[in-house]
Amino acid sequence: MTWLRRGSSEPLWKEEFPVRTADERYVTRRQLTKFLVLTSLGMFVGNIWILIRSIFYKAPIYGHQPVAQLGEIPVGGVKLFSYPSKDDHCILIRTAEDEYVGYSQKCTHHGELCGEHAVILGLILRRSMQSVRRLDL
Amino acid sequence: MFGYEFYVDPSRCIGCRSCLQACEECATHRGKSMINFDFIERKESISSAAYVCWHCDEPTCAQVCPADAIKKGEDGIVHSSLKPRCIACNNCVLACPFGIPKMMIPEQQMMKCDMCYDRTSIGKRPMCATVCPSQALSYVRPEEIAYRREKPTNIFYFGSQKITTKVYMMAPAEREAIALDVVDYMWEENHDLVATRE
Amino acid sequence: MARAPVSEEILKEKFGPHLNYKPPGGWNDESVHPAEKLVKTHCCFCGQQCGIQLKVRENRVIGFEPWEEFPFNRGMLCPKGVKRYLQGNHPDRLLAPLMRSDQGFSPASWDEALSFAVSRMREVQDKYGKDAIAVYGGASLSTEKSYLLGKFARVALGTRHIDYNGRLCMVSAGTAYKLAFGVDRSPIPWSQIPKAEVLFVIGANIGDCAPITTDYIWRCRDNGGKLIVADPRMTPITRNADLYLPLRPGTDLVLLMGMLHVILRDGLVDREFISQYTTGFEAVAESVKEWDLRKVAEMTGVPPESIEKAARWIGRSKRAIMMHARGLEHQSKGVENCLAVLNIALATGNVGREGAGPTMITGQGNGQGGREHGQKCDQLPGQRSLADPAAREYVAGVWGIKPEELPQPGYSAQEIMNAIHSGEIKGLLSICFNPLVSLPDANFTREALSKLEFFGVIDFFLSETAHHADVVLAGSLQEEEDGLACSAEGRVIHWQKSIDPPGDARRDSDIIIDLAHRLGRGQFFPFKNPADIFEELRVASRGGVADYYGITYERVDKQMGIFWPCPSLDHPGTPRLFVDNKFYTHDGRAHFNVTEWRPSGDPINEEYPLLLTTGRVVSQYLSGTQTRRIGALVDQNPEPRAEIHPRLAEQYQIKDGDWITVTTRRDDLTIRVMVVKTIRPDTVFIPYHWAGISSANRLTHRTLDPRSKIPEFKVSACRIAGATDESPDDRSAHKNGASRGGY
Repeated sequence: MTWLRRGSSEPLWKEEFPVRTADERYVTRRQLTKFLVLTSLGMFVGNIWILIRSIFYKAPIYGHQPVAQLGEIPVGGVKLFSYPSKDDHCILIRTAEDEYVGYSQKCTHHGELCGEHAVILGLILRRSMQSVRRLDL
Repeated sequence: MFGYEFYVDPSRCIGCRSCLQACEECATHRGKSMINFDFIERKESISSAAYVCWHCDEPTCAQVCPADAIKKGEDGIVHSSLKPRCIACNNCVLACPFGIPKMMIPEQQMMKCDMCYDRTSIGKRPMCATVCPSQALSYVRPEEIAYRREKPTNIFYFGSQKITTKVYMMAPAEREAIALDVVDYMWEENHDLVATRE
Repeated sequence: MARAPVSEEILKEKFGPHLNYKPPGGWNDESVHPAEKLVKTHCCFCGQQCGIQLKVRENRVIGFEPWEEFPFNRGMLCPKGVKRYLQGNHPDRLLAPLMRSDQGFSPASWDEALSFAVSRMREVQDKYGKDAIAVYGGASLSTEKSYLLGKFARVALGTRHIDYNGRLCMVSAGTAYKLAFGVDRSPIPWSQIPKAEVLFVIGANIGDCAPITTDYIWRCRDNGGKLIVADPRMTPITRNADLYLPLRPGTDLVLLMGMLHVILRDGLVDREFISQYTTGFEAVAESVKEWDLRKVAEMTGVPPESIEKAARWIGRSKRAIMMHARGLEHQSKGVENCLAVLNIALATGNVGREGAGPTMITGQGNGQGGREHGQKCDQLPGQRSLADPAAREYVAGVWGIKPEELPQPGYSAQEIMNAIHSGEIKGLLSICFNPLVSLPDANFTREALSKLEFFGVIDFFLSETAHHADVVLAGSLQEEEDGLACSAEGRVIHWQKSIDPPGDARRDSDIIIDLAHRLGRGQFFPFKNPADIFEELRVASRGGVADYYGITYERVDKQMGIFWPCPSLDHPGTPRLFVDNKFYTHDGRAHFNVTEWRPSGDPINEEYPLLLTTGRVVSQYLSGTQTRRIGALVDQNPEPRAEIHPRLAEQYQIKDGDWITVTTRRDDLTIRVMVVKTIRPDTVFIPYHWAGISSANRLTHRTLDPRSKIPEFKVSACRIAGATDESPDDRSAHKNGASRGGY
């Protein structure tokens, strides 16, 4: 770790054990204990807060929104729409005759459209496409 | 005490040892006197000198302590060794060029003058300087010492070690530093360790 | 018979001196039980009277704190002042009266002890006359108590014999200053010292005996002043002396007359001052004509050049201060010596001006106050003379008695002891005095004490003298009674009471007043408190030279002390005397006094070829009754050491630390030696604070100055020899057979 000391002329032992109390980084047991207790307390309080919040958490209910007409989009075609709000950009893809998939353009993983995850609020499709929940048309 | 400095003038000492007696009355080291007092050579003269710790800027005692037990506080006072750390090895006693630290055998701790820390930290003067009847030890503002013929200096040379201290020694006006090596006073030497005042 | 009832060992084991090292409860008790209050008062020891604060808790003094605001010492203290508080809570403290018994001393009730004392005193007076009882007082008593004691002796006991231990201190200077100036007080306050150009210190070991004065002297030198020291030894202040005169003991008068001779010879006199403000100069000028430099150098051992230098420095300066103390005054020519100093001061006009003046350094705590208001054998309050009819009339009026009832002057301290020895005085009541240690020729004192038919002592420890008492009344320490005192510079100060006397001990003043009541004279002693005594003192001193009428406790506290004379309540006090060259003599002028040389009372000869001088060490005070009981102070100087020069040591093959025997015509003393170059080779110095086999006063002699009656402590003839192998304790009885009981 010597390279982290940025060119001091003093030998290491002198810095570690300074004579002047002003230069000391000495932490007393009491200080450490206080720090641990306060930090733990903080985390505890935070966890309790999260718990309380999740107990009282109500999943938001979004209304229906017409997206497209059946047959409006050709096979392999796409349509962009916004759901549930103007800023939540989504994309509807007709992958086959009777298959439609919808993706949110925002991925929680990276915030950009990515192939790893697709989440549509209210509609979750699995990548493996083992099952496709029916689109609410 | 802010703005006050400690001045030692051995030439004024009358050997009464009031400092020695008063030292043990302060609260930091009760019952134990930390003054260093000597008759220079009683057979030859009545000269005596009393010293306190010089509270060096780079205290030799602290530097040689293997247990990191000696600390210099933010106000410049070098304290007695920290009791939990001191191992009574006597390194500091041997190393101090002025011979100040005292090893207290029953307590297994080095103790020394800490300028009556219980007094100076709350704006009182140290015991020795308060009681000294000749003011060989005094604790005053710099302007109050200016009337004396001697002038304060806080630079000492012990061989090749230069020591600057918090406590001042009163020396003849033309001496800027106190050197303890004959070589420092020789004309032939080229380097100018001991400068004279203008 | 007032002989010690049992052996000294038994008495010492029971009553001390034992050493007290720690504050009550130990060193760390104060952090658990802090002080309840700080009392601003003064030191109980020497005449410098340094201000000090005492920490008090639950009626005990537990420590001290410097008093930096008091202007005289500004927080400074000598080691005795630092450790004084350890005299309280002491195992040796007398907590109840003691009466002599076969087992030594047994506690008694106050009633028993006081009735016994009074009945014995009455018996003695009825049988032998009023003057068969003498009273001894002391100069560490407050001014109120000194006044009270003088009145007690004269009005309650009706004896003319009252004197005090200050007879061993200031009387030579007092007599001389009264002759020259008409007043017995330091003419200058200490604040004048730094203003001087020349400081001449003779016979004064300021470093050891008045340490706080040292800072004043160093500041004088910082201001360019020059210091001259005349002393047989190089005392601590000599290290910075500009001129040192190695004066042979006993020859001070010759040196001073020689200096005046030079001043006259070189025309350095202040003619104008002499003619305008003095009388008697011509006679003195004539008398010093014979003291030329060669003669003076031969007698004093001081080189002629040095004498000249000293004289010229003083003569040429308009600001010369001449300070003297017991070295000059403890001689059978003590008065002459002081007069010679005053002659020089007057001749050079160094009186009354700023930074100028002669001054005596009063040694004892209330040596000044104690010599003003009647504790002396020839004195009445206000520094009045007991022989003066006008004074007698006034004071008798204040006291409510007829002037005829006032006794005439009596014997001084040593004369009282002489009279006890001869059988003229049969009874003694003593307070604040330890004559067995302080008076010269200790064997004589011991013999005298053993002849007393009644001996009563008021004290707080059982001193060596009190071993001989019939009754010991447990009195108070300085911190246990309120009162005023007067310091060396003439400043009246307040000794604030800090605590009540412990146990059954009582305030000294209460004891004396009680005795007066029991003697049937209570109506003259209607005092409940020291303040009441002081109220009467103010009136009694009014109109006298030492006029205290304008002084009150409140004024003293407010002004940090008041210099007398202070004739009225709005008078600020008189720090510097003779400011307008007005003196207190009958003609208003200062008087020159002729001084004549005569040899000392104990001349050297072949058998006793060396000079013995006695003195002090900084850690002990007077007879050591208090300071020999304080551990830290005893550790500083555990035993007396005789100082001799290496040349003298070599003559007798003595090495540093050896035991030697010092012999005088009175006795011999075995003591450890200190071989130092800081003393004349013809002189031996021994400090006198110790008692018994270590007491220097076994060696000294009883010659008194004829005018002041001060003993000649500073000049004795002696010889020395290496001691034999026996330790001092198993020495055989010496010539006066006074070594019974190892004493």
